[in-house]
Order: sequence, then C-alpha cells, then structure tokens
Amino acid sequence: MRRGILVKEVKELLRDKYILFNIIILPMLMVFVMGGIALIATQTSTEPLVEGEALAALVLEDPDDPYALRAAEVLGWRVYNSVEEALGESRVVIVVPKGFGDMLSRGEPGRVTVYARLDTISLAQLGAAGGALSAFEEAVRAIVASERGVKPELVINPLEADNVYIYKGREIGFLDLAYMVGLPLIAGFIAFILGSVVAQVGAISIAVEREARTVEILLSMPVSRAEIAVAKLVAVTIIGLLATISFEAGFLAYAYVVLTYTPAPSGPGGESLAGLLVRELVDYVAQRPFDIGILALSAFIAAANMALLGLIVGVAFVGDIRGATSSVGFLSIIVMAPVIYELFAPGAQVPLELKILFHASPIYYPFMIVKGYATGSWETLGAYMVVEALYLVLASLLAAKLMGGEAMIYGARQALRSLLRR
Amino acid sequence: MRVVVEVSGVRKRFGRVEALRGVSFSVLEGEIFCLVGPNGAGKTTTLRIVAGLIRPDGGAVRVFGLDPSGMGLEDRRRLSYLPEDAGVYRNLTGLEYLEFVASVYARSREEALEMVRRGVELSGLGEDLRRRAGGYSKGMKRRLALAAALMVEPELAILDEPTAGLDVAHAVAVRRTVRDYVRSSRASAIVSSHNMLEVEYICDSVALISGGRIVEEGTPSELKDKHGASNLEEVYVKLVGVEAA
Repeated sequence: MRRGILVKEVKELLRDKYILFNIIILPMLMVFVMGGIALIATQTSTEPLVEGEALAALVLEDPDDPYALRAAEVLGWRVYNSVEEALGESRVVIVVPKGFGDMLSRGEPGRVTVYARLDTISLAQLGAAGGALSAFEEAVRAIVASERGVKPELVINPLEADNVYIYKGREIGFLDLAYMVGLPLIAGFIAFILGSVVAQVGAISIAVEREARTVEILLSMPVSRAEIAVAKLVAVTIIGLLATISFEAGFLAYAYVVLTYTPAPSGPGGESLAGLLVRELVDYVAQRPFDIGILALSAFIAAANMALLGLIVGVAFVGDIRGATSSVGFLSIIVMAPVIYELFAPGAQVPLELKILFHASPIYYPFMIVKGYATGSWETLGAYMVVEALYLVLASLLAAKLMGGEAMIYGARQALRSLLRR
Repeated sequence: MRVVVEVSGVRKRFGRVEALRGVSFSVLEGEIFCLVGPNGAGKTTTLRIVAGLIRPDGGAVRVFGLDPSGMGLEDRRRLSYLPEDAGVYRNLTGLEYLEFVASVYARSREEALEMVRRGVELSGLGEDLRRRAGGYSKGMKRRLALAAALMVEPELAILDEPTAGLDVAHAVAVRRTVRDYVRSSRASAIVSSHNMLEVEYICDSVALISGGRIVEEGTPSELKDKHGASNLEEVYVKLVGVEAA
C-alpha cells in the first residue's frame, strides 16, 4: 500500500468533526456520564434517609449476644427489640436469632435474617441490603478471628443469611423481586436496542435522501409532508422491530446455550445460577402473558419515539449519512441515561432539575410504563401513558413540520433563518 | 398565450449570501424557457422557489396562478421537478422507481400502468430497468429521472441542468426527449443550463442570470441580434464575462 493513500485516509477520517467527536472525545465523556450517573444513583440510594442515621440496624433475639453486640458497636449500628421499630428508622435490618453466638463458637456459620425496606425497586437498594450484610459479616469475621487468634481471612463464611424484602409495607419473595427488577430491565434493554436501531435508520433514511438528491424530487411530488413523515416512521419502525426480533432470538439462543451447557457449582440440577434465574424468569413471564403485551407496547412506544427523534435529527442537524449515524448514536446513549439512573436509584430522591431532564428522554416513558406495571404502581403507569401520548403527538407534529423543503434541503438552521426573515 | 409562471422581484438570502436580488420573468404555455448563468448565479434557487420547495424572502411567484409553496396536492400533479444531479433510490430497480412515481401521481391503476409504459419508453433503458439503479451510470440515472419527470405528463416541467455531466450521446437523447415532450403536449418547461448549444437547440426564450439578477431576456435570435453576436455563447460572454463563465 502506498503511504500517500494511507495518509489521505487518516486525514480524511481525523478531519471529520463527527468522527473526531465520536471516536476521541465521546468515549471519554461517556465514561464520566454513565459512570457518574450510576455512582450518583448508587450513592443517593445507599445514603440514610435521615441525616446522622446508620444505613442498617440490628434486632437481637438474645439481647446479650456478645458477637452481635460487639459488631453493632464496631459498625455504629443501633440495636432494637423489634423488626417493625428498626425498619421505621433503618432501611436494612439484620435479625440475629437466639443461639447465634453459640453457632459461631462451635465454628458453624451464624444464621441471620436480613430485612430490606425498599422505597423503590432499584438495583442500588437491593445492593444496600447486600452491602449491610457484608459489613456485618466483616465485623463478625474480625471478632471471631481475634477470639481464635487467627487472621480474618482464615474465617471463611461466618454467616448464612435469609433475605426478606419489604416493598409498600408487604413482604415480597425473591422471584417477585426478580420480576419487578427484571421486567423493567428487559423493557429498558429492548427499548435501548430497538430505539437505537430505529433512530439510526430514521436519521439515515433522511440523510440518504439528501445525499442522493432524491429528497427534492420527493418533496415536489403530490404527497403531503405528513404522508412522507408517516411512511418513514412506519418503515423505520418495521426495520427496528425486525432488528429487535433478531436480537431477542440471539439472546434466547444464548440463554439456551447457557442453560444447557454451563454447569454451576451452586445451582441445583447442574444448572448455572444465571441460567436458573433466566429460566425462572422466563417461566414466570410465561405464566403472565399480559406481560408480553405490556413489553410489546413499551417496545412500540420506544420505537415510535426514537424513530421520530431519528427523523428530527436527520432533518435538523445533519446532511450526510456519517453525521446522521454518529449524531444519533450519541443521542441514543444520552437518552438511555435516565433509564440507567432509574434502574439504580429511587426515583423519589432524584433532584427536580434532573427529573425534568429525564422526561426529555424518549426511552424514559416506555421504561416507566413497564416499571409502573411490574411494581403495581398503576398511577405511575397511567400518568406515563397519558404523557407519552402527548409526547408522541408533539414529536409527530414537529417531525412533520420539519419535513418542509427548506429544512430538508438546507438544514434546520437555514429554515429557521428564513422563517424569521419572513 | 396563457402565462404559466410569473416571477416578480424575488429575493432570497442564505446567511450572508444574497442568492437572488429581485428576479423577474414569466413563462408562457407551450414554451421552453431557459435560465442561463454561471455557477452560483441563482439558477437552482430560482427553480426550487418555482417548484415550491423553498419560499422566497421577498417578491412574488405564481405558478398556474397559485403560490407554489402553498399549492394543494391536486395542483402539484400538474408540475414535475428534476433537480440538478438528482439521484435515484439505489436499492430500487429502474422499473420499481417508475412504478413508485406513477403510484404517487396516478389517480387509478390504469393510469399508473400507462405512466409506467410511457416512462419505460422515454427512458430508453430497456432491460436495464430490471436492474437496481445503484449500478447505473450517471447518464442512465439522468435518463431514468427525466423519464420519471415527464411520464406523469406535467403541464410544467422544471428541469435543473438536465444534461450536466452527460456524454454527447446521452445529452442529445435528453434534449430531444424534452423538446419532443413539450412540442407534442403543449406543456411548458423551465430548463436551466450552462450549455449555449443546448439553449439554442431547445429554448424558445432565454433569461441570463448573474449575481442573483436577470441581466438579459429574450428569444435566442432577439438576443443575438441585439448584441450583434453570431451565437448565444458570444452573448453570454459579453453579458456575464469569461471569468464567470
């Protein structure tokens, strides 16, 4: 290969502002944006609700249990007599049964029950329960190690725990919880994949018309702007649905392989724990066919929202295919950020300014609809359905308006200038 | 004869560039009107305004007595527009493209079939119409796009540099198609061009545009007589200059 050709290619690519932004600057920004969101979300959900309050507390069935009392002292946790009282002031409560100290003295694991009060169904709040148990386990391990005169690393698995989750004042089982977390997670995942594909196809469909100079012929034909917008919307949604079906087929094939061929050390029946979880979840959803409907509705909404976003971006901001794909790719990640936050953090603790920004994301609505459904928050589901309908109408009107000749041929900036001049 | 297009004092600005500074002309029924000028003179902007794709900042445009940017769909059927360097949908065959255009313009299936039959004939692409248009040469794409523009039998055909970049054989075929169509249908056409030979061959009246203004207008013979030139190229050079040409 001649050096000149290589130099030309490198210059051509590096001088492209979209490539420069997406390859060099965007990855740096994304680490901060996505990591920051997850970090903020996790921090806000693991912080105590009241200032100065510990994350967790202990309930001792034997008020004189030496191990538990020392652990509480080390951790700075308060000790209560009843679970109700403790849960009123702490998000995580570890109940230490009678005979706990005896078990540890005999070298057996001490069995505890962890009660976690969930204000919202989020990964961070589940993580808080795990975090509290780990802290308690570390404290107990250190106490046992010092008693035996050995290094803490030599005290293996000093605790065994049962988990009880309390959501909206009632106990929920692990499978219920997996469902409440899993269904919105799946919805978010589908919305992201489908939305990204559809938005890109939408933007490209406009960019291709502009690059090939077919857009002027199209606009001069006896068809309305709305017809063009709807035709493009439907076409890109079909492409997006096909892409999602393909993705889901790949996911199921992967899950099948995991279930069939991956042995697990701890799962029953030789299955991996991940495989077991997937199977349980699939079985659970199969028993509730309405879930498929709500997921399909959410996927359709996500597709329509993102298709509109793609069309708007295609018309307004870019004049070529490269620009269209990279701009929409960037936007797809940005609009996913609120979903990541919601998966991690309790919505109630999101600052108002951030909450307003979240509502600008087209992926947020379908995700919240499914979350409202999965967690039984019907008021959330209803509110987001109404807002989503308004969102779709407004975005459709904007897209149809942008399909005007000036914006389609010269871009939105020129169209706006002309409008102001007139 | 009836006036089909009336353009008066049209102005258009793109950012700091004033593309049109008061352009005026009219096109009569059954006439081929040529807009001639150097690159950047404002030809394409003028045609886009006449086609109703963009709006002027000032002045007035009437096509069939109507504002083209606010024309109803029924009236839009009466005109067709061929942009400069117009592409084709690369993943459609030539025939599928003609069928698509016909489906938009025709009011019935029979009319659509008739339009496609006419388009096939006008394009002269034969069996190549069954191939995807992405593989066509520039000349073939131009003939396909022109066939699509004329097969719908518009009362006004707006053709932006229909022969630009074509070899001699393709250019001759395109010119002949345009001239024959207008002569046989009594439709009108606005054609922009750089090529003075082409202008003399097909145009009934000519307007020279430069710097966003019409600097001269008349029939080819009127312009030659007025400027004592033996051909339109000399007129063009006198009025626009060699630099701009």
